[in-house]
Amino acid sequence: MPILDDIYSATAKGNYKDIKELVKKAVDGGEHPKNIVEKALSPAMIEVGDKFGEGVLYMPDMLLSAKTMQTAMEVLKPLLKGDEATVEKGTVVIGTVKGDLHDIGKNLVIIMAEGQGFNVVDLGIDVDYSKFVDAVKEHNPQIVAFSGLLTTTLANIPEHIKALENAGVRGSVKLAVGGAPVTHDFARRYGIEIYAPDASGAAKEFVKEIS
Amino acid sequence: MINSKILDPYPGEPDIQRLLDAFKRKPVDRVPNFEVLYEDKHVEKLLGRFAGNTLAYGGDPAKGADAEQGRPMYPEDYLDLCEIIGQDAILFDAGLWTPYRRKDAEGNLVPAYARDVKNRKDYEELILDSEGHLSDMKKYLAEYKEAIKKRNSSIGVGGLYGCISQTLYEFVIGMNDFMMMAYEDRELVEEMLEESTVHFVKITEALIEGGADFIWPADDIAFKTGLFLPPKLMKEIWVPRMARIFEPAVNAGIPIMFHSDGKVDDVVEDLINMGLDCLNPLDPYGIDYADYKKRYGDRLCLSGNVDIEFPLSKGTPVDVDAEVKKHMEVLKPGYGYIATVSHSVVNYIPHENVIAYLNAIHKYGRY
Repeated sequence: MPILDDIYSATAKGNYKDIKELVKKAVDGGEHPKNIVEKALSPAMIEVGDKFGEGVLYMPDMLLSAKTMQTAMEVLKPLLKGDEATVEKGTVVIGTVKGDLHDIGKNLVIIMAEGQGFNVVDLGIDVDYSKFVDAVKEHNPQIVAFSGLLTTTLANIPEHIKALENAGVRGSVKLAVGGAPVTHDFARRYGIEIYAPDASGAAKEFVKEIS
Repeated sequence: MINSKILDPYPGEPDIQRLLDAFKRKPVDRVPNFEVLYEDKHVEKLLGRFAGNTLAYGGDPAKGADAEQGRPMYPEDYLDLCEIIGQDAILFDAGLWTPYRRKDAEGNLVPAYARDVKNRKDYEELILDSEGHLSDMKKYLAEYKEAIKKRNSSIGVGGLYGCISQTLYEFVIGMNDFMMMAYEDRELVEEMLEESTVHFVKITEALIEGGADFIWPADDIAFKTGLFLPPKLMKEIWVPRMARIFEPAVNAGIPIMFHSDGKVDDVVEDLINMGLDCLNPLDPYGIDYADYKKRYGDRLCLSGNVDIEFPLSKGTPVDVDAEVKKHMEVLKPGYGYIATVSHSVVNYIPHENVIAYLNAIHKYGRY
């Protein structure tokens, strides 16, 4: 379908100014909103994420594509009625670990996860143990993602996990962790199910874990 | 047996000439140890008294504080510290951040660092306190020079400054909005970069006039996979401006060290062409230091890369010693190496690892 190609292309190029019109045109032409998300918007964001990981695209490209997808979703969300559950893959609660103020990585993961249809609850930076627990209780996420740049703050991960265990919610979520010094071994050591070395990989792992 | 309790005697007194020679890849008696920052707990343990961190007594310029909240470390403390650790120069905060201000309810000028500038109108409300900043910088440089002279010391002094883009994304505009603005309102971004550049050129000139031995511009422009902005755009909007900040020093023959975290491959050649002498900190998450030694070792002095996460924070003194040795084996031959950690000597590094790190540099760094 050429219109889906146009939407894909506009999203990949970050053309948020034209996307509303393109999406409306597709809907008016009989395209199912769910198809628009699954066949154009999400795959375009995967391409953008991959190219960002390869060093072909840069931060502004990724941010503009994310803005394009968000703009498209403003049109599509009211039309999805009943299909929200299939389009929305799940909920991710994310924040930087207690004491950590570095949020570039976290923000990139949010862009990529939203691009893959996740509802992301961003708790921000330097997030207290109890705030993660409260967010799990409130939003019922499938995934809780910890981000951190510093070894010293990543050392708070066991306390974060303990807080989830003590609140009886650890079993209801998959945990994810990322950040420059984080490795697969680090994740395994603490029984954390999801790890990826970059934002695009993280979003793909999220999709794998919940499917 | 690794000594991580006390500093071993080091060879050769602290001497700015050693650092200057290392910048120019000339023969030196030992690899200089030189850090952008020692945080206060390490300073206190090394000096035996509280003296703040090396960039600030009170406040923390690395976290956005500035002259209103602190001042650079007092000269006598810094000189004592250099003598204890064998460091050839003082590095003081000559103005890391562009001094954007706005008036508060009482009419006082306060830092405009709330990441709330989103368009031209917001930008036009900012006040650039260039003169206030310059005057503070000159005063502190004169203090350091005077103290060095009084002590008849060979220790030198350099200024750290120049975050033309980082000020904007970290404090003034915010990361995401700055990045999109670079595409969507390039004119405004360039105007802000230009205003910062004009300010920082004045800082370079004042440092030279005040007798600084070297300059250290800094601006974090990359993360572990590469530049934040496309190289082509960086070469158009950032490279020529940073070159202008370097220029007075190049013309005066004053060595230049430059710092950016991340993988900066795409601008290293530009930096060399601009007259750079020393590149720091060779981010261990984006840069292979052995590769950089091969590619740039005959044109640049290299500094950094000993990872503050591992071995410095999470390793043992034995790990630290081994890592310093490994770096020395690759980076020391042919001169042009300054031993530096991957970021700064932060408080969360166990102090015994800092001692082991300094002892290892002085042990393996002898020529």
